[in-house]
Amino acid sequence: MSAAAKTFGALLALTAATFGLSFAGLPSWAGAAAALAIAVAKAALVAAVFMGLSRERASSRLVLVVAALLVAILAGLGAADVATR
Amino acid sequence: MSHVALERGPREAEVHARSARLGMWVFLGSEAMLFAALLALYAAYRAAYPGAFAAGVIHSERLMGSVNTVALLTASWLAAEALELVKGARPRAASLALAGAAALGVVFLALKTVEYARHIRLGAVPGPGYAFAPIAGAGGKVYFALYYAATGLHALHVAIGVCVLGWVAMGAWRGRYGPRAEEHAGLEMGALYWHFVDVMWLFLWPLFYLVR
Repeated sequence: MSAAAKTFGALLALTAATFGLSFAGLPSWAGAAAALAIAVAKAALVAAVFMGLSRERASSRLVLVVAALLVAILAGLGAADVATR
Repeated sequence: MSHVALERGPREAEVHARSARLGMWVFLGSEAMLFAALLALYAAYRAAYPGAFAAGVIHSERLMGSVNTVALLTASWLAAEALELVKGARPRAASLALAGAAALGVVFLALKTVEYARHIRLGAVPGPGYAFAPIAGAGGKVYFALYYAATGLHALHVAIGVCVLGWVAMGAWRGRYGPRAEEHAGLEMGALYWHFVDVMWLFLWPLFYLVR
């Protein structure tokens, strides 16, 4: 079985877990935290295996790290601004 | 600048392929910012209107959204396999995998259209025409405005991705791509774009369909 096929299997399992969690009746914040944590894990799998980031050079990985950092700053500050008005 | 392609040695071609990948990562990084701004608004307005957002998610098509998640993940897997197939000098098989991925993208768009039609029929439209009685007030308007903005922007990316996948599938069928990195850079760029579209959905799905 190819690495991509194994990754696909893992992604389906994580998708089923996210779907199942939505029926667990968790409080909103806990449900969101769990679902987003699983989404981050799935995104990391797609980036590492499907997008080949694990065999990519450091320069390309650096782009992803910077992008993730900027997304966190943009989303964090943007949310803080609107929420504290 | 066509002279670049004329006298390119193997080493130069490899550097060219690597540069193309780096450029694509930079492009995808900047695309992520576009979605990040919408996710920031989602977080802020969910904090401001928790009841309306929870009700909005309850009124979403959970099963349809989840089927769409599986469709996009499967399409992403097929695109990843297509790259391996072309590296193994099997361009026709790669073409079929890419065509399958594009078809799943069409399935995604079809289901999204059905969802939009249901929302619109119930009066859950963006802007001043909003008339969805179960979630009255500003919170409902904000939720559905964000819903349409985020999922609409994503659907536009899916539509572009379907065209890109269809294009590289045809190219692969005609033998445009070879096993060496510099011979299949176009296919690889198309697949990278598709994976990005998939990754964005992985975040939109729980936020608009699952977290109540």
